[in-house]
Amino acid sequence: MLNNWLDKIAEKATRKQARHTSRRSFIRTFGIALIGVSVYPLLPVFRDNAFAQEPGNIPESGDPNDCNYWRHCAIDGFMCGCCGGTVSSCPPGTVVSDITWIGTCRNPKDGKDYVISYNDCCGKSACGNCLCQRDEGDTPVYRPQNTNNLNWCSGSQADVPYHCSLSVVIGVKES
Amino acid sequence: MMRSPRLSIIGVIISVVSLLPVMTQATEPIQFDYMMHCQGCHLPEGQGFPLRDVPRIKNHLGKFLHVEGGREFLIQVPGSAQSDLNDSRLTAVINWMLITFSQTELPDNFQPYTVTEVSRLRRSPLVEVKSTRALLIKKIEKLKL
Repeated sequence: MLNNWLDKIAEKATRKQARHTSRRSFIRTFGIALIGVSVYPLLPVFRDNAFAQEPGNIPESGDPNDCNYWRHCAIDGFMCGCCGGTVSSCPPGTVVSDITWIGTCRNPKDGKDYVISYNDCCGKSACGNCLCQRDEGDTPVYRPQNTNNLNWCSGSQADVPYHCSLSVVIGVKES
Repeated sequence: MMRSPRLSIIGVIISVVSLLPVMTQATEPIQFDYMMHCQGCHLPEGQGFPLRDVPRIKNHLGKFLHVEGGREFLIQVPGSAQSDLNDSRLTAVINWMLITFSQTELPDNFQPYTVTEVSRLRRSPLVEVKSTRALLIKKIEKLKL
């Protein structure tokens, strides 16, 4: 009979399963999965559009969320550190504008001029916190390469919506 | 058993050297000029940003030297001719860009730009930038470089 035949297969499979697995194996597997899931976000994955590459060991002084902080010498916008990001990384939910303008700021700690990239973070409406406008070395818009009065987000993947500005160190001027 | 002290000293030296901050070394002056005058749009590796019409330099720039008018174009294009760089610094940057970003595309008989050549070329401005570029790209595509 059909039922008999099906029963036999089911019984065989169940017994085989029972012989080969311990009673606690489910708990073990579940435990591993639980740990794996919780550890996964800590893995060093490539997070493009979130962090700007910045060299280490820059002598630092001052508060990056203070408009007088040395790196902000030519900034015109909301400081990303007050908007859920940092001085060199965009807040969640925004993308960095690759196209940007680049200038230098003097670091008071070592007196050297550092090359600063003023990338905007784009894709969300204006942050509104910590407006900082210092404009040192800013050029009029008819010299667009060095003007901070442009919405650089228009050159980003996210297009026009501007959220906040970064001040990322990308080099040092030879003294 | 103790590890050989000599080995651990070498280990310490290696780790200290590898941790030496990149920042203690100043950016190379020609690269500094690239950063200040070109990189904002053409990006650190010269990759450009096609989504917003920023031309690619990486593995592309050298191709212009294979076609007639290309050598002139690289200097007359507004980004070069109208930059704040003086003639000698512009010459250095353009030669640096060709060698750094597009070495493999350079013609066999590549001659670096000279300051007098750059100085002469940038004084005759290019009016029809887009159409001139399109024409050159067509010529380059024909060559199948």
